[in-house]
Amino acid sequence: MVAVRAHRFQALLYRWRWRIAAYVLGGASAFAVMGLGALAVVQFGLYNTTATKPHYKLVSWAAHATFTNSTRWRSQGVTAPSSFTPAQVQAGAAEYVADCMMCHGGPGVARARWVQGLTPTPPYLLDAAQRWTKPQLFWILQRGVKMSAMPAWGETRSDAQLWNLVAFLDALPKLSAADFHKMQPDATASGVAEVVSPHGGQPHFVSPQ
Amino acid sequence: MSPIRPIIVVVAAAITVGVLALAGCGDQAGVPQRPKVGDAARGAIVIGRSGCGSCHEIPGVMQANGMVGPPLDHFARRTIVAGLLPNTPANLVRWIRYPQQVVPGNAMPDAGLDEQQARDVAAYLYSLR
Repeated sequence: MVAVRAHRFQALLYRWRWRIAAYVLGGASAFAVMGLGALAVVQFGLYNTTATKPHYKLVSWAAHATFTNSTRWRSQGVTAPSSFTPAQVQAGAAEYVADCMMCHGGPGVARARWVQGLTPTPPYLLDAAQRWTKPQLFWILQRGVKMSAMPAWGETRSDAQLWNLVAFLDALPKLSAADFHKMQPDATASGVAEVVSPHGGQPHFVSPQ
Repeated sequence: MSPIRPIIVVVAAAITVGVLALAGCGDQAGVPQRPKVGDAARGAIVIGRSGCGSCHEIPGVMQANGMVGPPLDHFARRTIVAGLLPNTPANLVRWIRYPQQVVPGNAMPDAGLDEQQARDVAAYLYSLR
């Protein structure tokens, strides 16, 4: 019985040989055309890579979703401390003002002017503790983000320093602009950010030391 | 053909039209007409590059899902800006440019937008009806 069925199937394949060949050739051609199309995009720069033109919405969604999912999956091996001390939060605030505030701003604090020229734009982080778990924040800080301006701070910062930053981000949703202003050291270590007095009035610039 | 079928078709059509008409009622009835204050398309780009979406939910702007400030959906219908000012173009532009002057010490920073950029942002917000 099996032999008969096998023979019938072989006969069918033989009868349909041109049809099958057409489908295989059609499929291969489609892939070849797609491959050539992709190569053309690369070779002729058909995708506008300037930062002044925003991504197409589909590309923006794909890039951001890939980043989010990559972070979620890969950070699962990281174990966060169960709690943070006020000293860690304060140390994290100092690190944040020194290297992060220029791009990410703060409560009542704007980002440096030129940051509006970045695509993707660095987000304000006031609700970061709600969007991300502590291991995920550590992962992003430590490893950075390709094709963005987010550095891998693990290259120049110890794990303890990175956890201090996570401690600060964890506390950030509960910090008012006035609280944050009290936590800042007297001068920023780098960059230029607009620092606003909690009492209102004109913003003043804090220049690099 | 049964005499019932055309009756059913007519009644179903009437119900569909009725439901659609009623669904439309009240949606756009009270939305104030906002004057043209800038270019909404440019405003969407300014919003994207200023990081507004990292604090506010803003329909039509990618990744604008922040939970720091209030959502900005239906902004054309909002009667008050920042819980303080009547929603007029001048007040909105002032709030966008100098929130620290309007409400000192609030979390929204003076983002350094110039007059044209702020007007374009306002135009986009007014397109959210």
